[in-house]
Amino acid sequence: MEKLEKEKTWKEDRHDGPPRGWDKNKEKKEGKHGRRDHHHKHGLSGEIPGADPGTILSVRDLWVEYTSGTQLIKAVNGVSFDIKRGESLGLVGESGCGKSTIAKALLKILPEISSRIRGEMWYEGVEMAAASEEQMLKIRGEEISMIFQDPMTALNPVKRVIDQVSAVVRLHNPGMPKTKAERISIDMLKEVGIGEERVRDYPHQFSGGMQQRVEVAIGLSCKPKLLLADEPTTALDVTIQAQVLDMMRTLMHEKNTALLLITHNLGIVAEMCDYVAVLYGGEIVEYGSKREVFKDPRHPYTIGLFGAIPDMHGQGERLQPIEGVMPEPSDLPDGCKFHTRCPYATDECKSGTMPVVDLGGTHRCQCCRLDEVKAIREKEGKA
Amino acid sequence: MVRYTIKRLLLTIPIIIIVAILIFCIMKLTPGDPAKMILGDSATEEELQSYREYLGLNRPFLVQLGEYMERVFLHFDFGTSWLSRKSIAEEFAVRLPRSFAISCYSILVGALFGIPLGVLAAVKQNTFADKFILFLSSFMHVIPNYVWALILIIIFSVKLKWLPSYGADSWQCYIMPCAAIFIMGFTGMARMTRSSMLEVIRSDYVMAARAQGFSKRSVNYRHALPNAMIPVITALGTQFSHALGGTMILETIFSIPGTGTYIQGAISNRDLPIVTGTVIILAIWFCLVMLLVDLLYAALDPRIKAQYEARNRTWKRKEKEAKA
Repeated sequence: MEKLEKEKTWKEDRHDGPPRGWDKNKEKKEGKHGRRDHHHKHGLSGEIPGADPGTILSVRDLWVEYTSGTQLIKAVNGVSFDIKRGESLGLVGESGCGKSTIAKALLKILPEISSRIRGEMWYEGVEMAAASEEQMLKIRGEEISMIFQDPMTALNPVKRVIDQVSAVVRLHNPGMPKTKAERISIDMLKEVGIGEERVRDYPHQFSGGMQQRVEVAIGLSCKPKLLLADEPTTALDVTIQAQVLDMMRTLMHEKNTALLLITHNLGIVAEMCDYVAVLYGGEIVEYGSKREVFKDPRHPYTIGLFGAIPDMHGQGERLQPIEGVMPEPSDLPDGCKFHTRCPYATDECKSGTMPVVDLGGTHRCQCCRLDEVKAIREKEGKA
Repeated sequence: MVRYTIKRLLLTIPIIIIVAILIFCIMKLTPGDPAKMILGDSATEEELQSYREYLGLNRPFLVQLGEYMERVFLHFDFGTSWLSRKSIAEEFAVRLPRSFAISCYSILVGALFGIPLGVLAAVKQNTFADKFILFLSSFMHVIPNYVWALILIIIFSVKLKWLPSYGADSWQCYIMPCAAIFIMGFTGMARMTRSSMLEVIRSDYVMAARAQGFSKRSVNYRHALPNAMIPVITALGTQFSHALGGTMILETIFSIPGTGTYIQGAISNRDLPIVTGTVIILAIWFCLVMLLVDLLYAALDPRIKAQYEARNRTWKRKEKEAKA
């Protein structure tokens, strides 16, 4: 108990009780974090978090910081988004932009000692950022499950595959006899394409693709309502990628599972997701439905991302990579985080907060020079 | 696994033979005349000559080596001491339980304390408990065990007069030597467990287990600990392999007639048969303990086990199946 209380005071701007109105919340926060108010509008329609029964997850103004020695690493800086039941959101960005951190923060599995989560994460009426460990234990694995990036390291090397799956099944179905849990696990593994003769093998006896299937089986074994997939196919080769994605899609369709897909691959987003959030420097710089973002990318970073993909129909133009590298999360620039690499940046971008511009529909973009960028691009005949 | 074990056991034979030849050669090359050492300076040249004859030192080197090898490996006879004329094997067998007891108790108690402390330190990383354990283990580890032995003697024998400071007649005699080794052993164990555990705790599969909804306790003890124990077991095995010869200094300090003092005495008296014989026995012990460690290793880690298992057999079976 003592520990819980300590945690509460530590995470200052938390509150218990029912979800509060968005505006009220904003008012409350403005005193302390006035300069962040622009984030609240991000990718949302301004309703009460968790009030819409169709919405399974509402993240509001999520901040995650790490400490590493004397450095403060600002991994996630005021991110807000919603995921609706059975729908999928793609979180796109370069490595180091805070994608994986968001997923781990959602489950609260970041190392407590070196990380801090602020903000609100509403899941089915429960605010997870302030939730107790006991509450989280019921959510993790059963309600929200996660597939990790690297299948080679995400399975316990000293345990048989069947035991790893059935341990999760039994954990979330207390009192279930071992044989029944194993039966369920075998069925689940069969569903992802692992034959019964292989289930008693150890992870090292599997190929990377097979290991990822096991992970998918574990992730979906308790029929979660939300699946967090952290680059589920990055470690796999392209043919296996397609198989794993296909399988995930089928299983999710059957179980009406919502998906938060973290990837740096826009192709996978195009294939799997209904909505896209483009992440840069721990902020969502552009958000919208897949159609909106893919048809009309507006943020210079998103435009850059699309410029770095080969076009199947184009005339074999040179790809245009985004110049430079992502700034260190411990040393993010003022103003727009992207201005150090942005071809359209002016002095205006180097300080202050960037406005979130509503572009109609669900499309939103965080940039202070959207119109100018569009005009320049039109002049160049690119848009 | 059985095949692997047999293979390893067979492999120890050439190792032991090579060790035996090497130690025999080294002992022959050491300067000094054994006959003179044994009979003393007052002995006449004839006496020395006849004594050398008696010891068989006048025959060609290869004949001596061959005879020794035959005796040791075919008759399991390690010879007799030049000085006391007692059978080396018998003498060793009398002393073995004492050294073995000291090593076993100190290592086991060390593991019993060290491993949980290491786990605790890792689980509570950067807290007071962790820092205290780290400090304690560093502090205890930098002081060598023979210094600890002296400290213990001063406190418990000289000042408090609770425990005897020498001998091996009663169980009280074993407390201080065990404690001296234990202090160093358990601190090393704790540090090792801590670092191994920390490494495992940070691994993906442990985080994945948390994401699957296992409680922190369950993750730490059921998912992380078995993996973290793998290198610790190896270290424990290495400690055991040094058990019989490694207590030499402490046995000397506490005047315990164990294997350590036996070897040490033989070396300073140039009682070469004892040195040669005990080195061979220790080599056998070392090989057996290492085999045991490897088998334990395989039991803990299926990846290692897979390396041990006879693959040739699988190939052959498949070929047979293909033919049939």
